[in-house]
Amino acid sequence: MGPGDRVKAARSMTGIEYKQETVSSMRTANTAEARQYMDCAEFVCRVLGADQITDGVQHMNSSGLKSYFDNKDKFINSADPQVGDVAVWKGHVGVVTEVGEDGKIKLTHARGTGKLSKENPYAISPEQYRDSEFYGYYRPVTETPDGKIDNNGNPVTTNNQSANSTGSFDLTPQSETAVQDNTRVVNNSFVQQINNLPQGNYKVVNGQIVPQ
Amino acid sequence: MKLLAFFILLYGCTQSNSLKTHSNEVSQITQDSLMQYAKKEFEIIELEQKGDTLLIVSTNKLLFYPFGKYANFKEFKDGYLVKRDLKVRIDSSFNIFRIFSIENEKTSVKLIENTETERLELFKADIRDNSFELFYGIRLGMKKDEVFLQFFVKTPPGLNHIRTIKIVSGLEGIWYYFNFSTKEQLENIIIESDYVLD
Repeated sequence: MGPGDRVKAARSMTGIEYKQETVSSMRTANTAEARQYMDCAEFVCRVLGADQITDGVQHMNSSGLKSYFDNKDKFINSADPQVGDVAVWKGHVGVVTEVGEDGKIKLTHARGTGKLSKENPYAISPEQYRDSEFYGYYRPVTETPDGKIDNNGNPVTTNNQSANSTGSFDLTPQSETAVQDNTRVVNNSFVQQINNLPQGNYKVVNGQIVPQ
Repeated sequence: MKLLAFFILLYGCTQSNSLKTHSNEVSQITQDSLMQYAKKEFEIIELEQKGDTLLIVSTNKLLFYPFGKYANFKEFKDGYLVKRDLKVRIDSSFNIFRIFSIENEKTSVKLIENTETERLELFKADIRDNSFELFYGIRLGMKKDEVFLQFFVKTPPGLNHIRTIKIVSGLEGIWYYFNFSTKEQLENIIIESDYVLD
């Protein structure tokens, strides 16, 4: 049940400029500066972090991700795509956000220098898309539940959930003494949502920011 | 009187819906039959007529290399630009790119030498003379039917009104516009990509 969150997280990160960064904090921190540029591996690592598959956002390149996914206890490797899978080529990774006829896919990904991250407009086969070797589609053996993030890629906080500073969640019940910290975190998330909004008029309905 | 007006209105709506359905059917049949004319090797995945524009979506990688596949600008210069009287400007202000602007008074072509992918890719082009010839030998002055025959096994019927052939890559962001004159000749070629470098 977690692939929906991976799709949401991937789609929330379209329009980002491509850059290969080597400083770990620029690939893992949840700051506007760190999220300004991404390469394909950072893009996927942020999706995995948002879906709580990894503990926060990890620093891995595409071959590191391949090794990570090769753990058969944790991940299924398939030749048949499903929405939310991570597609892995030699030297490239992306998130499957739509599966069309004949197993063709729409990929959302960071695409290369000089280009913005986006979802491919047409469903294609992996072999058509890249010349390099295609390793297949990967998904977790045990999915995390969907509904952890909203359409903007921001963590959804409930009474029993709070987002920590890395954007991951603590699902343990909150004690009364944690109320103050919880409030601070929720406020941070709210400010973060506002910072990420495109220009326009908005209103708050039931704690959610929606266009007016 | 009111009742009469109501029936007239009702009749009008019925006729209008009937016409719409008929028009949609014709459009659908045309699109389906168009696909039967598509050349297999051009890998067309979608065809659509919008007004005087024929949209062709293709997954053929040829679209990234309209002048042929070259690893760098030197190869392109020696293999393609030789004997052509064109000015070249080089912009090296980007880290892993060099942008080559090849121009004369009428035509402008910008190419990107990408050291990461080791390929020379098209950034944008506005071709208004015969300094450049594209894949399949497409060049300005060609008759519309000749251009159609590069993508179709024979000229499909019902395309006389087409003034622009728009070709979109189904793989990545590159768009071609083949614009025809009133004399049914290829007048100019505009190529755009989704590189964000300006």
